Amino acid sequence: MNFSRRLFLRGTAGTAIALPWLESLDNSAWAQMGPPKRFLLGFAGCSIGGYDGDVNDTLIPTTVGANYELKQGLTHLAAVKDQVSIVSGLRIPTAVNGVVPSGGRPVVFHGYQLSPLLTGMRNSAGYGGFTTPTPEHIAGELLGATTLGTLVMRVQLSSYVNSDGPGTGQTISYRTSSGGGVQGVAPRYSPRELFNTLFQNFTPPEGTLTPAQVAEQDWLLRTRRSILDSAAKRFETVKGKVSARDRQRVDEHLSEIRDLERRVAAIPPPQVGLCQKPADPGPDPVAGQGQATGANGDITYSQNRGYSGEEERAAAMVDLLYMALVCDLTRSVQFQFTNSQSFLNLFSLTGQPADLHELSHGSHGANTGTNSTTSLAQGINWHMKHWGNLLAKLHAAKEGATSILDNSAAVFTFEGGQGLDPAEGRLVSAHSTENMLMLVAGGAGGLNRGLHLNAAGMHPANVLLTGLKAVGYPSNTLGETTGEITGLRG
Amino acid sequence: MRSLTAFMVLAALCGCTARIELPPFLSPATPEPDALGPVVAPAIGVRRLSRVELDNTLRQLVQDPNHLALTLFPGDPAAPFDNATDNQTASAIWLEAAERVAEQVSTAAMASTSIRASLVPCVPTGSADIACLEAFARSFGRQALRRPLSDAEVTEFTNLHALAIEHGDFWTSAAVVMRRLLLDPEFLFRVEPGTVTTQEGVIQLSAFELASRMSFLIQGRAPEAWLLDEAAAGKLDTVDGIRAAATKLLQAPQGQERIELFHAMWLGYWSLPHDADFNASLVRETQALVHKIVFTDRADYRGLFLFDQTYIDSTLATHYGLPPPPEGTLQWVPYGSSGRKGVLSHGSLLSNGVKQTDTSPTLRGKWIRNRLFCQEIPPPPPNVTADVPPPTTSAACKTDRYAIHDNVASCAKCHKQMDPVGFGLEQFDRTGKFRDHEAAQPQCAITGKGKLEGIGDFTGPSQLADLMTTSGQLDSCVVRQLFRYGSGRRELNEDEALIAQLTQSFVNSDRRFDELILAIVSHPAFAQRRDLP
Repeated sequence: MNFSRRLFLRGTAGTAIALPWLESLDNSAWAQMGPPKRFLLGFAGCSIGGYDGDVNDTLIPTTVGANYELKQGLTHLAAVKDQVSIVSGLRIPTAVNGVVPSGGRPVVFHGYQLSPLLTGMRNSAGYGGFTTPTPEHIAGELLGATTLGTLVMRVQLSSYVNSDGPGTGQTISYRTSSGGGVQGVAPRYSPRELFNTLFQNFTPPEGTLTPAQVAEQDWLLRTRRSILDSAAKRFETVKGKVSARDRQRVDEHLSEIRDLERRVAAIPPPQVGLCQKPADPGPDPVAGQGQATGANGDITYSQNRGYSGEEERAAAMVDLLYMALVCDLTRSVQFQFTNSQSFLNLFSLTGQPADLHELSHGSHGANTGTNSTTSLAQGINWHMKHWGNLLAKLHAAKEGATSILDNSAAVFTFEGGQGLDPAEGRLVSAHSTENMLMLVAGGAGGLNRGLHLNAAGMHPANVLLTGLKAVGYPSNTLGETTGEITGLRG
Repeated sequence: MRSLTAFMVLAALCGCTARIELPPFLSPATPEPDALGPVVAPAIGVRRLSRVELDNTLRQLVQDPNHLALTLFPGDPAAPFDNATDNQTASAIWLEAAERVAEQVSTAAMASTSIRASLVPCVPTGSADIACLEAFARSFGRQALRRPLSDAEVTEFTNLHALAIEHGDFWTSAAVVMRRLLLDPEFLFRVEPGTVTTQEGVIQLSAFELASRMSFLIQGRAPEAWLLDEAAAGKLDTVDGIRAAATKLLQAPQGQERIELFHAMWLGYWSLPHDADFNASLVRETQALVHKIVFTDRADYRGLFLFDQTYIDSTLATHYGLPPPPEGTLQWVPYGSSGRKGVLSHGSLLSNGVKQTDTSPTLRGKWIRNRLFCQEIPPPPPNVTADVPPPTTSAACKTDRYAIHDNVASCAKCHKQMDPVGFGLEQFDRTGKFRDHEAAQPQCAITGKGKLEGIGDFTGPSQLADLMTTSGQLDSCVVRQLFRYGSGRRELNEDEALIAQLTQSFVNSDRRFDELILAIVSHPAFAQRRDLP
């Protein structure tokens, strides 16, 4: 008997939940419903400019409107330039006399500026200070159930300073918590595990497995589900025995088990057209140790500490994300390339004997360009290499008469701008939320592509709001900010 | 509510300018236990095993040689200890790692004839040998869940056999049962249901839960079979029995490793920012002194800060400016008149409190206050930044640049608690090397003169160590740090009486660290808990 596990599962797995959209993929379905919208948020853990030099020389186009010029920090976007709009002149207001304004940040920069940047809410709470969900989770709720739900991922393996454990670094993705408030979402940092999570259920095309192989796969799946379900029941039991405070934490772990069960039970989409199980990326590149200094106190970048093969990790993650979007396993993503205040060693990436953070400060001989801003532009362009590659792939991925990029809002943000740092009294500083810049790609919801818009004085959250509205967000506010960027949509 | 004590101590210090010589028992951080009210059972919640504890436990349970837990679990934030309950938030990547580790460890264990023979207490007669599978579930379950399983639980776990038997192989069934146990909440978490007592809110731990607490505190892993046996036999019902078991745990290699790891986390050398060889050299130096004071000599713990020799090779001796031992040897080298004493002179500790590539007197002072005096310095107010050193343009020398902190009243309030402490160590760079002027500014002499506000003046690590140990504040801080490490949280106000009592016990035991551990685990409060508020 030649039967597929897929058919077998339909018979044994009970209710099929959260079927991916492609489950019903055929031309008539497209015609009726149209392809889904997607929301992508890319992140670089650096400001756009340094302690000297001028971002008008490295990033910000000289002209506004169409046919803008790609400058040295964005050259890797050349292939998709007509898909990308640049929004410049953005600003997060800063505390005055200790009072944080609406949508603003304290004077302290690192770690304090990200909640207003990503949520539009003022940060009066201290480091981190997230009180509302970040946009990818808002979009994830809007865009409908998929196998994975909202995907949060990061290329840079660890913070590389003070702690070099995998996954360490500031949390910058927050979803609504079951207990009220928000709950941090740890990024997926392992390409290998991301591959397993996304594609482990994908099986070879029907007819290529022997009945014995099909039976073995079925047994493995049923065993996995039984073990998870049995463990989940014990979590339920424990939950009932502990204090209210512990119950919340046990419940959050239980929710993760139930989510995993749901992912495991989900029937993979048919591998038709572009949706195919990608090649196994193999073991992750070796994890590097934290930043190191020699006995003389100099950071020894050439030893490649503070680096874990992020070049290969980025390439693998772009491929995996691309296929996850093609196969409709997720519709909303936060893709962190680097950690906030990133100490990623760039020696293997750009040839610079520096980490990303030190580039923006021009510290210890890190100036490989004419100034810290031109040096930093090289680090920024590394991000663009992989972001640009992802956009190009999504642009080429046709679904009916359109492409995935046509149906996406893909916003890329940096963690800071360049300009006044009131704390230090510098007029030109990387520790600034003046003169910020965002890149918006895609054509969902009437987004305008290939433009340079000067949105002087607008808040970065206004760009995020525009992106969210492009995928169906009904409100005209995000956090404490209101309104879209004029000219970016419609 | 967090403890107010540290803030009160600091507030008291702020008002004092004269040098104060306090007898150890009466120092501000060592209040009389009776003045603090009765000792209460500490509030301890459900605790997740840390990544390191999972690794230790899996090596013990199934001889996992691949350190799969270290490979697959995300890192735990070091704050400074890796086991703070507040940081143990749920995430998809943690849960998926737990599932994958359980799968891979159990598959590997049952694929190894030697490992499975050591784990399965019977020879299976065939794939359907339920009795043998139950015996395995009972024995492995006791180790994994750290308590005996009920018959109902054995049945629950072996029920998975119905699935596994399709595979027609006993070892597959055993692997499925093991995989299930390694994903159990009582394996991944330390749940302590205990028994409700007549004292309101106080829960008395079972002997097995006590065994777990002892084992995780002293060895950072689940209890071995012998300790569970002692719990079952009632041997942990007496102070003598607890002390005997704890002594055995301490003396085992795993106990010594764990005590060294406690020091590495507390004293900031778990992850060092230098070349691998240099890091190893620094860690070896500090480990040697910890080991000597705690285990070899079982000496007065103040020796960790006062010992007049250090265990180094010729390379590190030359780096420090000390007489080098013969090439290729490691020896105890006298500090002589170098101004060094104990661990405060080690490059490992001196690697802390650094901003970019140079020492920050502020951060070093904060670090000393925080780690060794257990005092909290409030974060900077919202209108200042703490991310970069003071501007370099205004003055060439670091002392002059930092003077900005003295000149602004709102800065000085906190900075006078930190900067003078750091400046007292300035003659020792971030690698522990001596210097008498700034590297890039030869005209800027470094005097190394420092001050512990309210306690006294000092120059260099030797005099700082003298001040620390005579002020008595070190005693209570050691106990406080052990409390935090042992309970996975910061102390609450109601914990102060217990901390004070343990501090007194520590002092009375001639400050022997092993005796402190024994005093902690044999204290009645160690076998009790209350729910977290």
